[in-house]
Amino acid sequence: VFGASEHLTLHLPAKQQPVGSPPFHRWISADAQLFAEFFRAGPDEYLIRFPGIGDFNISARHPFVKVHPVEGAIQDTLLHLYLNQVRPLQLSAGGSLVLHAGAVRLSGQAIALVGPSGRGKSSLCASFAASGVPFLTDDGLELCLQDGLYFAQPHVPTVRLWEDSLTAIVGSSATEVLPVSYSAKTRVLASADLLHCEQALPLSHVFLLGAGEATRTEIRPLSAREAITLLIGNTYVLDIQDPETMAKHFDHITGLVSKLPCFMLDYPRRYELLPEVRQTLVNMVRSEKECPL
Amino acid sequence: MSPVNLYGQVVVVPNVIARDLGGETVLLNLKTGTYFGLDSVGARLWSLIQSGSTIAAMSDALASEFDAEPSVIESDIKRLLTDMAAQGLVSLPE
Repeated sequence: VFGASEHLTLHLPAKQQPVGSPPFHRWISADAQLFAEFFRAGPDEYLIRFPGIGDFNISARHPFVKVHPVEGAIQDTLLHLYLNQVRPLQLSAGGSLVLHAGAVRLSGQAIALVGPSGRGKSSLCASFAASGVPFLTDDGLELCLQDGLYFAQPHVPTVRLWEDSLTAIVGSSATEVLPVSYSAKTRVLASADLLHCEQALPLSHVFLLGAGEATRTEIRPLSAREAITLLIGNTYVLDIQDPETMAKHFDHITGLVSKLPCFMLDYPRRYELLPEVRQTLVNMVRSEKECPL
Repeated sequence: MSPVNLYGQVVVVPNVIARDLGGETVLLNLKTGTYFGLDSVGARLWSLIQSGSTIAAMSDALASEFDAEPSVIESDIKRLLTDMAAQGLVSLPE
């Protein structure tokens, strides 16, 4: 997992210069701040700019990344951005399927917990991990198709949590907590009390996380149409204007939905209900495994 | 809803691709990133669009296959096609 950072070359700090062409895409944060800008820098080459932090030059053809930080940028923040934002986008540009999803190991396989920021992926992953069910990642889930199975790939052994989630779910057992300079969240390192799985596992189920409007834990199967349209919106795609890339992602997602059961999962976002949510998922996955239809 | 020509062809916009799964269809406009899900009836309509049917012919075909008033079917087809046109997935006859 950490080998990925070997592809990162850190350059000397420099002021972020204006780019000749306008960005083809922007990310705006929930509080309406510009978080990232995306520029084309040549055939299959891109510049991802995080204002006030650094510029990342990436290619869709090879894994090497150059980062040009601004003066004073924290190295740990750059690595964090690379692993959690830049690398998933680079993988997507190379044709991989990367979901906005966490994943945990259940019954020897992985389940995906899919949803945009704020849907509770990290909290649910941390809740599983703190109860002894290892997590593979809390976001940026890369899926590799091998022998007809989608394998969930492990990612960095950290979970990003808001302070209240950290206290409620992990409590005092967190061995190491790292700040994230551009977010109010903190990163918690995996430990004996917060288990991480470092093995790629075949994916067995996909759960799309609802908005927390349910009054109790609810799971319902999604039709193929529902699953595809929801998953498309939760996929990392670097160049959304490239028809070839979009077609490839569409086929990836269609293939995933044709092979795996997809469900909508919603529950009230109350910490005391997380054990019930976990148990519901555990029972569901185990019962399907014991009684294949 | 503005008047729709029943006797001209509905044309799929270039760069729109479709995938069928479990009797349903999902459309994606590769240029705009717009995607659109069709249930089983919508999927049947999509197959008629691809075969070059006019709206009148689509209405006749669906009326023979589904238990609903022809006027209701025609109205529903017009509404769905207008919606799909607004999403940049098809162009309607003038």
